[in-house]
Amino acid sequence: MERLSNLKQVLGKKLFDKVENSRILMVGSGGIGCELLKNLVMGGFKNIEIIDLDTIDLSNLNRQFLFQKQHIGKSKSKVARQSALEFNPNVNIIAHHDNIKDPQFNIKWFKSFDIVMNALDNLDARRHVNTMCLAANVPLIESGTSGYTGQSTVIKKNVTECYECQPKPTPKTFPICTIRSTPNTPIHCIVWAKNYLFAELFGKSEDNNEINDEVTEENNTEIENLKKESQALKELFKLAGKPEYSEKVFEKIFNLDILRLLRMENLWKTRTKPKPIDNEQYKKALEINMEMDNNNNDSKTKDNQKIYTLEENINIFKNCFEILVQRQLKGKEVDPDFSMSFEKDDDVIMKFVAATANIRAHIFHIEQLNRFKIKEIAGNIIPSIATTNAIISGVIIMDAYKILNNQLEDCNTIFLTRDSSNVFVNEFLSKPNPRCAVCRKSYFVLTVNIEKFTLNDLLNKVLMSPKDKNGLALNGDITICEDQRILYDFDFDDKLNDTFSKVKIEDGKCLNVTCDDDDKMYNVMIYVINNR
Amino acid sequence: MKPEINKSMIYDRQLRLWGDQGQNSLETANICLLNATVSGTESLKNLILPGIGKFTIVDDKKVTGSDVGSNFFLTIDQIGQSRAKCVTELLKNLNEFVEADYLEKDPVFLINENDKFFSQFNVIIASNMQEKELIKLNKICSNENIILVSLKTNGLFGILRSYVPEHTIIDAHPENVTDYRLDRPFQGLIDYCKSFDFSEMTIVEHSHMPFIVILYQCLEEFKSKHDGKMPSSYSERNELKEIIKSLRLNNDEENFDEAEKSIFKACKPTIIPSQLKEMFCDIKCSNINENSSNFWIIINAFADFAERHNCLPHSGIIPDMKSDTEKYVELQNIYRKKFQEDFYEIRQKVNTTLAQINRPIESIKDEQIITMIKNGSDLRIIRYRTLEDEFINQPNVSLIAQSLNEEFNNMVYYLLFRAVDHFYETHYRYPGVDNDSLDNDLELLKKSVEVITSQYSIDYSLIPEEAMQEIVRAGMSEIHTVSSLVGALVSQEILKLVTCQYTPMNNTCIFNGIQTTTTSYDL
Repeated sequence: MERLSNLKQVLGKKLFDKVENSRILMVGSGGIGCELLKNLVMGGFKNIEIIDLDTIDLSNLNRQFLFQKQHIGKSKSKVARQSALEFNPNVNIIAHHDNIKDPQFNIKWFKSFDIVMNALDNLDARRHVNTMCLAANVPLIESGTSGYTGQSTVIKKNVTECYECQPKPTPKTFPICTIRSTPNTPIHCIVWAKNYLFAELFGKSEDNNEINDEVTEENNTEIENLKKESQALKELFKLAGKPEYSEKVFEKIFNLDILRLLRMENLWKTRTKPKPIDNEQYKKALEINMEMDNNNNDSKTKDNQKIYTLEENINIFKNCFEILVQRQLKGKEVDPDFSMSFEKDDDVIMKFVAATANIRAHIFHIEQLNRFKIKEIAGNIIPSIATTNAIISGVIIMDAYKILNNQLEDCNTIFLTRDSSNVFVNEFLSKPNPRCAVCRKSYFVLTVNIEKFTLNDLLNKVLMSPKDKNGLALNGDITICEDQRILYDFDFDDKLNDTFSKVKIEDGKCLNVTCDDDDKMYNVMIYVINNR
Repeated sequence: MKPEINKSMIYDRQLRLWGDQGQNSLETANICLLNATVSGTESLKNLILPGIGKFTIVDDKKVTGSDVGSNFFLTIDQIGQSRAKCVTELLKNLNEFVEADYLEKDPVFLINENDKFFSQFNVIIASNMQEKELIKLNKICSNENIILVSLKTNGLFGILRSYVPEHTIIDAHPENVTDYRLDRPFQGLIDYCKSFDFSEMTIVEHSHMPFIVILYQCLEEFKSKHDGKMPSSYSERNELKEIIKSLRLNNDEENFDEAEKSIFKACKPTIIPSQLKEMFCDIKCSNINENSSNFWIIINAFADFAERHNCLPHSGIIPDMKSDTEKYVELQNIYRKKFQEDFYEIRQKVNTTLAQINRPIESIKDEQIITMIKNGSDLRIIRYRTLEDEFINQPNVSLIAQSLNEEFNNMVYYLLFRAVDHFYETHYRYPGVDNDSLDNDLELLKKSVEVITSQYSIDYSLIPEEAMQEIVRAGMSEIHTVSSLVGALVSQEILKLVTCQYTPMNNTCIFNGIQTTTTSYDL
């Protein structure tokens, strides 16, 4: 009996053949991705490309079943491919261990697929794939899960809503003065420990998207002071490696900085004053004997659930701080620009952030949280299980069958709910939002030799050239941008005679052209492909 | 050296969903799968990954080509070998903490000849079993207090059915808890709310007063004009709204916005929800003895509390609100204190009960009581209907008839699944398995459909011919995606049933892969 004869019988020969000949791109091979790849290879699909820039972590193993503990640290996409082929060798899978935003994954590449399936976990990549699929006019199946809930929908240019037709909630940010000077909730202390303290000591302080440091009239002097404060902390780094470093840093952040705040009396008129921790208290705390376990394998869940005393937290601070400094110094030996980023599954970093957040909470009389909870908040952890991913991945394949059967419009947006009396809630696909700034744009692909083609050529041979000469016939004030960079506008024509390669418009780049002709604004996206 | 693998790191993302209590329940689950079909295998996979205690596969079949074509975990070189053994060995690799076993026996034989076999398990997943055997299995589960979930898939369609003799939900994870007690404020709340005078506040204080204080004072004013009664109609609530408005200093006061928005919730009288009242009247609540479960002992204490206070213990939880930190914390502490007092009363009663039935006080932990108090109005017991009641004794005819009249209903497929079972009982094979006799099978299936519909006195013509054709065409084959999806729905339900958290389905769910819809029925 032929292996896939059941499938052929149920789908019918015509659809079965279409499925076999289709090319599928799966973006992300994590929670949904593992289930989806299994469904694809079992569902008759023969040509699959997968891409993921991530590597496998211990905390993936409770649901990402294509990975096992010997794979920890390896590329998700490559291992997923290998595991899937072990069971089903008759499928072509190409795995990329890369970022989907890399220029090599250009519009031409996107166009080579019949369906793109998102199995992503972040807004940024989802937006990118959405735009690429709109530009390439390839149907996209978008999905996501969280705990027991999940959803999936289908996006097709000019037919359905795109990913950006409805505004997405923006991630919450905190005003810098609340974080640095007047915290009043546990979250403020966690953001301080992770986004200020850890970033200043070990990371790149620029990548700080949770703290809003917009300068206003009211806060400008305080922001100046805060900058000095950070600078002083940085200067302590010269002590790194010396025994007194940890003590000096502790004194700086939990004593001197607090004393400075206390001197600003107007801050404490309606608030309870913070209580700094002086050197004597610090030293006394270190006299207690505390067993440290830093092997990244402390299996006692209880430790994560415990609220430590101030003395214990001070000990954890010192212990973790010194380990992190060692790592930092070793890293800098190899690369002077070495830095660390916050990693929720790194036990030492997590303990450091939790301990310092709780010491700060203690100083400001704020409720302390246990490490389990702090990890959830600091890491923006979304609970995740195999069942939900498996259900949503099933729905994605059912949609793919419909799309290949030319029934895209019969697909629904499907919500997997927690309500067992309504497991799926189905909604018809919505029409595009006429005001959408993303899918209402026109998208074009421009294939040229970037060594020869100039901005002037773009303007005269493409944008303003009449339609019968394959131009866009734009008429009005034209502005050409690449990302945030202006390349040409009415008042700025210095670069007109430069070639694309000279102004760094390379293969895979995208130009944003606006044309204002008094009555109307036109917005055109041009994807550049280099034709050597 | 084998690296030490730490469970709490592997399970981190799920512990955030069901906590230690849920994980412990899962790790003690001993699950039996009858027939290693694709859907059965997939449901087991999703339970092995999060770490059940043990699984056992019972199956006497050999691996076939179509198994390999639809079951991800089987490979061509295994054709002809024991399906139970092959699937067990591959699933075992998914999680080293899970114990695995298999038995090469026909599940039907065990059900008929060796029902004692099943008493070791606390969950049974019955895949592609016939009604006759399922009824027998259900009896075993009912006697032995075992969770039974049965499932079938046929081409693009699937069905799952849960049965638990008595399921208790201890943590439904309610999405928003609102219990302000403003209709019957306790002393601590009264004293606190009365301590403020809105006419003597600074603008800043005024706009940072928690809305609960605003509502309390405005309600007092309202009650003084209405013989001490709370607003109970739309117009009365509007009157309250006007009182709140009159206290505003300007339109930017967000705390006043919150007060206005909370009028409806705040005016809802504090009651004991009907399902709790039912539980209080249950014989298991009134008759506590040596065999009583912790759940019922705590419910008994709740009943005792309700009798004295005419309400449930307070959870101590209040929502986030516009307020300065100090007042918010003070208010939080007032509700927390109330919770602690209520908790103390419940704890005392539980201790007394435990002493009476000679159980140590530690046998019920504080955490268990706290979880139940926090879930107060969402606590629930579900006693599932048996399959014998569903099929023979008391079929839910009215629901079936009513659902069949709906456009695009999935009840059709429930009846078709039953008809396919009838077909099998009659002809000892499934319709459509032989490609040469599709037309003949369609005629035979129609006869089975007639038998089933007549049992319910339902008009046979309500079952569309195309639906029957679809069933015959699929020939009871499993296609991977549908089986995987239905298997995952089964494991999702088992997670809820084993952890006693969230609200499980009661009792049947149909999956329709043509429209990608699900419908749940209480059959």
